Amino acid sequence: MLSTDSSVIWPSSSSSSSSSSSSSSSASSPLLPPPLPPLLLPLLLPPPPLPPPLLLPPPPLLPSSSSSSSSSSSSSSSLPVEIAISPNNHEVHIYQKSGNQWVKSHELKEHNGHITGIDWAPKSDRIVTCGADRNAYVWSLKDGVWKPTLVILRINRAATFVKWSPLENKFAVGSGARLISVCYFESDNDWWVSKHIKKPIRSTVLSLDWHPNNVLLAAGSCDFKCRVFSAYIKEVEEKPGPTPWGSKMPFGAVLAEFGGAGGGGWVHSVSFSSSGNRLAWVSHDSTVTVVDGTKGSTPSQLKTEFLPLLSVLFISENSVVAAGHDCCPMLFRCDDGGSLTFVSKLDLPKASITRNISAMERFRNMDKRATTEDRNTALETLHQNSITQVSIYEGDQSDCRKFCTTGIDGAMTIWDFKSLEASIQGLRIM
Amino acid sequence: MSKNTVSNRFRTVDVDEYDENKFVDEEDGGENQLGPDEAEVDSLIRQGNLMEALQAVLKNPPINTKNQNVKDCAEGLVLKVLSAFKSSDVDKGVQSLDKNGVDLLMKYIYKGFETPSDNSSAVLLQWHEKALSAGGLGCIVRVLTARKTV
Repeated sequence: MLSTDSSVIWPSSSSSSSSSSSSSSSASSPLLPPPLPPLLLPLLLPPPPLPPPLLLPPPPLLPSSSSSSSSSSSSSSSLPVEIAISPNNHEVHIYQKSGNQWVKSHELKEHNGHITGIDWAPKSDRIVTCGADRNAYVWSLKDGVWKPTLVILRINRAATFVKWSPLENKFAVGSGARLISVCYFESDNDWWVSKHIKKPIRSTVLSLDWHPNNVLLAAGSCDFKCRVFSAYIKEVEEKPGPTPWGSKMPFGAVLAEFGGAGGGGWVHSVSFSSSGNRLAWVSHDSTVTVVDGTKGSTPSQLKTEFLPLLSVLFISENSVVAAGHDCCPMLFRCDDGGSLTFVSKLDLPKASITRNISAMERFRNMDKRATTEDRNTALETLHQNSITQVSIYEGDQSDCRKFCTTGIDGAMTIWDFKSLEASIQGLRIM
Repeated sequence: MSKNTVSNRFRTVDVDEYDENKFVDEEDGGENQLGPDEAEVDSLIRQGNLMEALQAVLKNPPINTKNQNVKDCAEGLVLKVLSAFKSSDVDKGVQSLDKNGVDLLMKYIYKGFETPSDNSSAVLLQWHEKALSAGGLGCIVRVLTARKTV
């Protein structure tokens, strides 16, 4: 049931060219560039016009999230559904959904090192990418071609993560240089300027998330701590009002710090809820923690019995989806008191069918591998390797209807809560 | 290739200590942690009350102390209790522990693996199997990622 409702998409050469009738796709090896079928002409078409606000209903799919594939990152924007991924190399590939197939529309080649972060700003239609070459580029679509603008980050180690702020007037880059670069556009000089948040970060910043007020920034890093910083830039915004996290927010101030203290592991991923009052993070010691800013600062930690989780996301004010090395997304609930409980795995394998192995196969196995057992090394989950990113596909952070996961196996899977609630007993997303 | 590739004795300075960016963990005052109460645990074992002995020996773990003696003492005591259990009771013993207890038990088990003696490994392996089914892989991951352990 899951396989029909949640589609597994493999953005490899074979899927992009299978949209046309080219029969050479099945024969093309992954190493050769795929032959360009005629359907890739959309490169030359102008971008679709955004619907005027009052006259038309909003477009049905508003994915504005980042997702990763092959341990790199991707992001998507509004109509038509597009996704930017990096197949773990120096390039970004943009795919467009046409019908049921994903078609590659652009290739962004500018980075000299592996791309470690991509984020797509849906309203201003800009893509920011950061890489192991210590650079970040902001890409804008001009005449159907994506043009890069270099951003001087002033870091001397690789960038690890990048995220646009909610108003898309600045973005934050985490790096191995033990600092966060918050970049904003200075129109006088027509370039992007970066400001650094250094203290008290003591190791690589692995993950960032912005608070809805566009000022606060949560950062998870390898020094086992999750912190909330202020990234207030007076040149581009007004002074923010007080929040449950604090009221005085000069740039670089630490408003909250959690974790460490002899235990804990690297904080792989952080996520604010849609109200900004709750902050969730997952750590390498196989724990998920949520803290509610309005209820004092004692975080509620859940020690899971799974392998460490790598990505976490609020999909409603009370529910959190996380996924990681177990290759399976998991649902957790955070109740009003702030305590966290595990609800269910979201990728329940169908009852495994024991195949009847033919006699021929038995003899072949006996000959080759000295055993007659069935050679099934595939995992029971949809993803065959760790999931590195969970992102919203349809809906927003207060009410997500579909989310998508990408992983090191190079697969992108889209999960639909309606069909999950139907197929898993007693599952209700609150 | 340079001539001195055999011995490391010429390395008299640990340069990592002088690295100003070296990550130093927070100090958590654990000087007063004394480990489980030996007398109490011994008396419970003699009485045959092994469940209580297990609970008692998992109290006050010497996680933060720098005193190696206290840690060794605690480890020996835990091993005594674990060996006193009958094979059929190991499962019940693990079920009587809460999540933190299972994590702590797993820490002691791996500590015990480090210095095997006589029959200790066999006993520890039995306990490891039951603790694994109770705590899952996450329990073992927490043993590996804990920087201050028993």
